Amino acid sequence: MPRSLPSMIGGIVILVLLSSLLRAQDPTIEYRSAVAKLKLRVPENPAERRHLGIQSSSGKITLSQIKSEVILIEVFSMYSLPCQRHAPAANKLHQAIDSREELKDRVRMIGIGMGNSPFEVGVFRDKYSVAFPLFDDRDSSIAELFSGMRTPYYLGLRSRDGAEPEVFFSKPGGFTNTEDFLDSFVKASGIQLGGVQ
Amino acid sequence: MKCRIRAGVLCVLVVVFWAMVAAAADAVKKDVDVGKLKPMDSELKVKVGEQAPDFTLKSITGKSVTLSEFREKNNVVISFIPAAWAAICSDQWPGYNIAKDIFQKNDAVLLGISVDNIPALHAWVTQMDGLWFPVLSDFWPHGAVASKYGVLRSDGIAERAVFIVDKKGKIRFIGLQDINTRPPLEEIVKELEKIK
Repeated sequence: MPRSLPSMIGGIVILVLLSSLLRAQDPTIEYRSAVAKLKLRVPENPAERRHLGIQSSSGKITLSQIKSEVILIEVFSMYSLPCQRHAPAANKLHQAIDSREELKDRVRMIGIGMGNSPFEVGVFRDKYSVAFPLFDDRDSSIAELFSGMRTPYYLGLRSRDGAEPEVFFSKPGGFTNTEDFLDSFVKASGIQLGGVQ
Repeated sequence: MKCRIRAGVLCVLVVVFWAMVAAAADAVKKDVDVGKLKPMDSELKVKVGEQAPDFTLKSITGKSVTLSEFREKNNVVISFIPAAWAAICSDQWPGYNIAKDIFQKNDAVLLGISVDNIPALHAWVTQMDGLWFPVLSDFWPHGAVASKYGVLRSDGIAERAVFIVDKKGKIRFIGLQDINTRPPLEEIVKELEKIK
């Protein structure tokens, strides 16, 4: 066996891993600037408004008006088959956040129905018994901002010292293991568990 | 020296392999994305208030479905879509699929019609985990039903159109949609509620 064979195999393995990592990266554009421009219609449901700490009862809000240290957004579409298939997992994720004492008051999960009217969002909410607040996109302005985005798509935002929330997490597609996903999300957020920062 | 050459060749092969994977993924995207089409390319042959032209078409289950068999029993929502596997079409019927209760509440059945042949439609619907409503093939004579209603385009595909037929067999609503956009579900629901 040639002496250099092990190093050759090692090199190939590294190359394969590197190329896999490159392909695993999100190929879509960054949505950071789009998030800053997001305008969401204030929920009609007072309980949802209270849950999100929204003061106004009508009009539109930006994400900075949601009172939460961390915001987890699932961008979905009522028409999207992958979103329909993923709906039970998204519900489970919301339940997992609520069931963790250290997260339930620090992370708020919302859904945005890209290109969906309030009626369509309502159909999705009823069909899958979604318990977290869902926002509509009646005028498709969000769909325009997120042009090219495939749903479901997860975004994480964190507010620091009252500043505008910043995107720290961006993931296309769903997930299979709720706890693993939540752990990686919390880790990426940088929030300290076991004590408020 | 030989080993270096081999290593070099293998490196090139790895790079080529991933380039091919990327190219294949792009090719799939291109196949699905047909680009922006002329919004409308046909002339309606029916009007609201007229008797809906009857038809019999085979569904992907092999069963024949005739429009007039729903007379006195159900309102009928006929949804023509341009083509199986196209991005917007694959985004339209899954939405109707989770709204079965709404159709039932309004005594309505939904008939999905496409000019694709049965094997293509069957594969597409299977990939969508199945649909609760009949999916009918208007493949041969090609687009005959779409043509009867005046929604067959010059390139052989159908318009994205919705016809609502009441229990008397009369057309109560015609929704002709820009082929590049998805029709809103509530438009159908609103029209069904008017019939009740």
